[in-house]
Amino acid sequence: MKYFFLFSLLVLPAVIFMVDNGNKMMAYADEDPIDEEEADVEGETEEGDLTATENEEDEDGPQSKASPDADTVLLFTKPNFQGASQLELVAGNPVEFLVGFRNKGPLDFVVDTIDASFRYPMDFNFFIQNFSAIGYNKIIKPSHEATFHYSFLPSEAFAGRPFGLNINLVYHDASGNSFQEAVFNETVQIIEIDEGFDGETFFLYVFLAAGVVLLLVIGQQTLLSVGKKRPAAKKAAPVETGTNNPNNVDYDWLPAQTLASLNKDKSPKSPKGGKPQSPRQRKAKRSTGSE
Amino acid sequence: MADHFLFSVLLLVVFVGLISACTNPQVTSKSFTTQDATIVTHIGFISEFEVKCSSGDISSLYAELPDGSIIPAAVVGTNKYQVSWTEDTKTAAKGTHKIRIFEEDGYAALRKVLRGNEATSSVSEFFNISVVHPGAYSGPWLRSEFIAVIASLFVSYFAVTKKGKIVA
Amino acid sequence: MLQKLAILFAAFTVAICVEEKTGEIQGARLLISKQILNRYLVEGKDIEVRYSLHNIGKSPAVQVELKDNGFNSDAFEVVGGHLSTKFARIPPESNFTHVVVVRPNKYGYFNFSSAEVSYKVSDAPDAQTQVSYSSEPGEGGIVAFRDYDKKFSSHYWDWLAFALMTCPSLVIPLVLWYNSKSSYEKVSKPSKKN
Repeated sequence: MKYFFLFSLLVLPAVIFMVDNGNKMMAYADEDPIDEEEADVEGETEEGDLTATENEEDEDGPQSKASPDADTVLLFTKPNFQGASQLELVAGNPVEFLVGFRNKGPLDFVVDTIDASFRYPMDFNFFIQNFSAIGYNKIIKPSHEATFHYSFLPSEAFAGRPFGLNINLVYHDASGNSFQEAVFNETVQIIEIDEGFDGETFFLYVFLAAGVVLLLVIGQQTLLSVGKKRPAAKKAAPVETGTNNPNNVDYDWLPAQTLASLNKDKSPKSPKGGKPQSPRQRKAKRSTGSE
Repeated sequence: MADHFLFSVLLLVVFVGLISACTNPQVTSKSFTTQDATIVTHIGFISEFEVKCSSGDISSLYAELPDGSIIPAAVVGTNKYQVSWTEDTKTAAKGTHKIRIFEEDGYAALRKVLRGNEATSSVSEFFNISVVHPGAYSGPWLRSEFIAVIASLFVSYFAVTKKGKIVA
Repeated sequence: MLQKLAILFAAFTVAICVEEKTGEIQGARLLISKQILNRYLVEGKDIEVRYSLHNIGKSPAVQVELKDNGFNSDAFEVVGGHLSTKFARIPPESNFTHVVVVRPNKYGYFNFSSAEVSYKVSDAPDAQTQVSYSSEPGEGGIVAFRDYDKKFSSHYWDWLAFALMTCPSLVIPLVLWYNSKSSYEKVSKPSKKN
């Protein structure tokens, strides 16, 4: 009985392990192939002897290489590139290239997709940015050739750094063998070109300057009007409470015509002729101040 | 080797045939340029011309574009040719663009001159054609919204000043 | 003189032989891109199609024939340029463009397909003819002119209508005020004169 328990102790983990392993295999099948490649960096050291799935993947790798019957060529059209020096791409400017595909074999080829990606220049397995794969699905008959156009936009944030640019062409032949070829796999430099004169920003600055000037003018105007109003009020105050109108009448409230008629009536009688005109003067000052 | 010899002889015959080249060419050309810069990103310049010779035949023609590049003229019919190029809408200048057309021998001379880094103007052209670009329409000069805003500002200014006068 | 000619002739044949040998490996090779240079595809307005031909080979491409059957004659009207052309010779390591302007008669989605090009890979008389396809611009939606106009026209008439509609609410108070003002001035002026 004891031995039986011991035996079961041995068997049960084994069974669990096997079931677990099966599940793992299913999970692997579901996973994205790109993730698999990314994981490869760690996988080679840590998971040295993985199960059969990993080995199969490794065997798959060399199989999906370029076909000997396909002749591919790459030409950069947007930044003119002669091929002598390192390719320089301008950040923020679209990059365009053409991929030529010539079928030298006896079977039809179908070009599926082209995708570009930026990778870490020290380690091309490390992805920095993936550009979308463009599907072409173009059938190329034997001894025919076709051109494919692809363009992408290097982000402005990447300026001033080298990147590994990988351009991948995926195609398959009529018998169903799939191939993939890296038509470009080099380190490129992403540079920044500062345009000397940008009209848009120039006019933005002009507009800002105009706004500042406008604000200054408005501020000056308000300051001036406030400054004018206050002295006028101060001047007016002693006049109003002054001796000239002992009745304490504020003539401001009276319309001009009434004042005029009042003055007419007053002027012959009053001994001080000039003074009743003062409210009018005040009125005149006010009106200039308020405008 | 024998067929190469034959080919060379053939070539010689062709070259001899070239001597009876086109003389006194009568050229009729028409040009087309895209004029709506609001929907296209580049201005297309297209020139189509027809060459009539009083005698002889025309060899293949080459064109020197305003930017200095030399391209083969497209054959679009018997003695009918097309020369076309594009320029960015911002850089495309309006006015007349002169294109110089060269024959095979002129083209050879041109290549020689280019190899020596000399000015291409020293080579005399077969004939000239011109493409007239009247300028492209790139949207209204003043946006209607802008005009509306200015008008409304004017009206409101008028109203506010009048109101101020009444209140004062 | 004759000797010189003979030498030249010999050199020429040798050159052709050499070219023939290398031509097997490095014949003409054309890359053809077909691009639509439009921001918007609008019914009845220009669509600019640019064919860029790049000869990246070492020998010239001869008897180049470019033909684009992608633009159906009842859906598109060719305004400038020709859709089927020939080039006598494209020198090696050169590129140039061919432009055609078409106007669509209809709106809706349209698949811009590739143009067909055939050329001989070298000057040799027995050079093989290569069939090549240009790049495909892909599917594009051609907008109806009405919709385009709605979005991008200058709207001057719309604003004029708006101004006319806002007129009553602005003009009526103005007229009322002006009437009262003038009547007041009529009253006040005689009083001043008195």
